[in-house]
Amino acid sequence: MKTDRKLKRGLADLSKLFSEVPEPLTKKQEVQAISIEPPEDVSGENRPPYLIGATVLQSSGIFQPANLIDLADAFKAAFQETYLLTVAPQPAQYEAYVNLLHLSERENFDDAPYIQLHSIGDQMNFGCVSREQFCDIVRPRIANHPLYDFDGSKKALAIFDSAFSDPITSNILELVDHCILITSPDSNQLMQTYHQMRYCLSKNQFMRCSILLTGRGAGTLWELVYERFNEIVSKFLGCDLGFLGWVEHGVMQLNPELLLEEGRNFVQLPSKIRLSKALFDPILAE
Amino acid sequence: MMVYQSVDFRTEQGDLNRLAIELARHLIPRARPLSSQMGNEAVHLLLQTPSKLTAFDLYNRELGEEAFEIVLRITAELESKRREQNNPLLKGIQVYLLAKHFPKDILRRIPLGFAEIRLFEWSFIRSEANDAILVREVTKDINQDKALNHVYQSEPLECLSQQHFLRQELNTPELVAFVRLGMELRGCHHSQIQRPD
Repeated sequence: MKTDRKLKRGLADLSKLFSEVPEPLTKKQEVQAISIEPPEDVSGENRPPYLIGATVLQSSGIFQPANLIDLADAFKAAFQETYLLTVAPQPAQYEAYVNLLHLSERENFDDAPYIQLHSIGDQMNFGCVSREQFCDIVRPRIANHPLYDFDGSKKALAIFDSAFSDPITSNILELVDHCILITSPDSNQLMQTYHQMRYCLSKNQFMRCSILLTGRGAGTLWELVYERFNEIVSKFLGCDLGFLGWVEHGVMQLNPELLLEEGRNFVQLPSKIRLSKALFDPILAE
Repeated sequence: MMVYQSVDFRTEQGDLNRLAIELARHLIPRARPLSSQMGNEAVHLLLQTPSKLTAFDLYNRELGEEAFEIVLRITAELESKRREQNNPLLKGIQVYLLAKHFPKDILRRIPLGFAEIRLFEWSFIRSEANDAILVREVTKDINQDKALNHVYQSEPLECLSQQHFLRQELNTPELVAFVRLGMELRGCHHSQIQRPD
């Protein structure tokens, strides 16, 4: 018997590690097929839509509450629900809404524990937000960040009518994704709109601004006005300007899809969640 | 782990008095008892610390609306006693009021600013082996809430008028751009007037 063969046989007798065909140290685990079931509620029927906030600013008093209601009505096509909200309105302003929307009686919304919504049409609601309610939304006493399960495929729009509040509550600007600037084909008005836009962006740099052109020449000059004004805005403010549409002689041409774009301001998310809960939870509970 | 459960404290008046003294020793270790009064559901102790005259009232029940009156009455009595003693070392008064429970609306209304007033909720708890008293100060909750309210009220929502937007002047290039836009728009308006539909 040769020495090397003899040696090999001896080692193999000591341990299986020295055998010619090494056995795997660990057995291969059998791979089990794992299937992940989708969550039961994928329909999203009970989940609220994602809320997009917008506010309206105007450089003059040409846009009246009735126009704003028409505007909100025109946005319905792009959104599942539309909410027209007025924050701590002046008595005259509130009266205008009561008369226009045929609200039954003047409610004491200041003392209401939650935002009282009135259905003013198909998928359209109107609500008065008291100063305290608005404070709780933008500056809650308890800073909690509850999770809220939005249905991303559906979107709702909350329009704050700050155009009619004097003085306006600038905190609305921190809450919304879009600012609709109502202006007319006039250099003074456009300059005023430019000032407003600059201020809005200083409060919320993620806000998307768009103009709605009204008044004489809106229907014919909108392309020129938008092109020139957008040049100025992009050059000096460094942001894009959207064109929402124009209104002249009762004719309204709108691009409501512009407002579908979600804001990217994550700082405002807790406030948006609180607003969503205030608006949707009473409806979902029904 | 020892598990305690809240139980009713149904004992004789003497037990309540001993309990009040034990609690006073625990909460105000430097206090010296001056007098005590026992009622059916309450014990009133008058204590003195080096610089304060202290009322220590223990109630074996919930205090509702009457808590407001009790605090005012005790504070008035205590202040008059402090003056009677004419002791320059006694610079202030303090009230310790202990009850089974204080409703939240009462807590909000109780005046805390004019004297050092501390409110405690207490309950008698029992495990298989031991009896114990659980004491929780609720004044801290009120103060915290008031501090939050103070912050909340001290930062009013920022309001601005249309004039606010005009505070920042336009710079020269911006003005030039708007002048050009104005001239162009005027031209367009003129041509529209000259060519009516």
